[in-house]
Amino acid sequence: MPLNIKTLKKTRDELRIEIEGEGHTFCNLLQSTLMEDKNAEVAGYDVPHPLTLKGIIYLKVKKETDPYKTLEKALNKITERTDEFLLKFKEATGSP
Amino acid sequence: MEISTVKREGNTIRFMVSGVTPAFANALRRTVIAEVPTMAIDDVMIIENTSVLFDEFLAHRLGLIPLTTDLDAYTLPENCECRSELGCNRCRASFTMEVEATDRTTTVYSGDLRPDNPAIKPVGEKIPVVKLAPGQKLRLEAYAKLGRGQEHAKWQPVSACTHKYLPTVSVDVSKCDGCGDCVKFCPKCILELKNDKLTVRNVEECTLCTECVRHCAKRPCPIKLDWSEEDFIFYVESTGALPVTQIVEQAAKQIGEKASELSQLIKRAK
Repeated sequence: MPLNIKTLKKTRDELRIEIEGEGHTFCNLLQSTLMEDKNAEVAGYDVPHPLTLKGIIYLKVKKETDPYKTLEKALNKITERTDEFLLKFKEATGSP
Repeated sequence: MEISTVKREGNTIRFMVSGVTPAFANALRRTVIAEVPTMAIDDVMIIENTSVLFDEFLAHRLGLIPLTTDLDAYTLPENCECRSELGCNRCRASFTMEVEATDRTTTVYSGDLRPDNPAIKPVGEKIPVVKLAPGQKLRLEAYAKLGRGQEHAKWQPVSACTHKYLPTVSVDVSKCDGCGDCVKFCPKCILELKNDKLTVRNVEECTLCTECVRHCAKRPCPIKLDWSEEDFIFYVESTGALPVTQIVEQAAKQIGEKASELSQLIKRAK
């Protein structure tokens, strides 16, 4: 399913986006990665219906921070981690 | 992040990932189960079926046969350029099957599926499909396509994918009298008496069943059971559709790709 996003709410320190095509698998990872950032005040997610593949991410950041920036930072962190995992896994299993 | 104690045997792998969050481990597990694509029969054209099974029953059984998959040669139908409902050579593999029982009862096996592309074939030759009595006949064409486990379990690349925290078993030697009761009750045999001293081996085998604590006469018990929340022991068992290492690699790759795709979308939405 192709990914699609929709901004549901955007204020100076809050952001609520709907991710079409993602459920618990990715949203839970994103939420916990967002919370690692000290600039994030609240991060949560919701999957409104178990049969439709759609997740809603909510983020509130501390003052003087852009919620989009915090979100992008978290996404980059996920990519970095999976890349690191791939590298280490290939090393450990000896696959090319 | 560290990956260690890799034990690979045929279609299974056991490895430990240290220094990751529970959310990461769980995302990896869920992606392996539901989002790594594999091949499975999805369309069946039944030309002749005089067996005792209904056509749809037969089609369902064919769908559940795991097929060896080549992820580089095929694309998911929704991403294929052909946009055709029937599919093309890039998104569909076909099989034919023709079996007739002449004078004795014959069992139709997965090995009777004749693949068009020899790279896409049933994982095992001896998976029974249906039994035919003398005179009964089966003739069909089957089309396989790539799909994901989230749509139907027949596209799941693994029969098991689990993770658990790394258990930590510590013994307070000053309080343990070395009676050895716990040693015989541990179902995983991880406890051992060495010179009357209780020691622990193969701690990753521990299931935290607490049998050792229950059978210890001392209170408070000198054995402490705990676990580390950043070390995960993964166990992955492939159906044979893909090599087990490729499944894990593909899952990690997909999570990363999804994050960078979302990042792009967010840049545009800003």
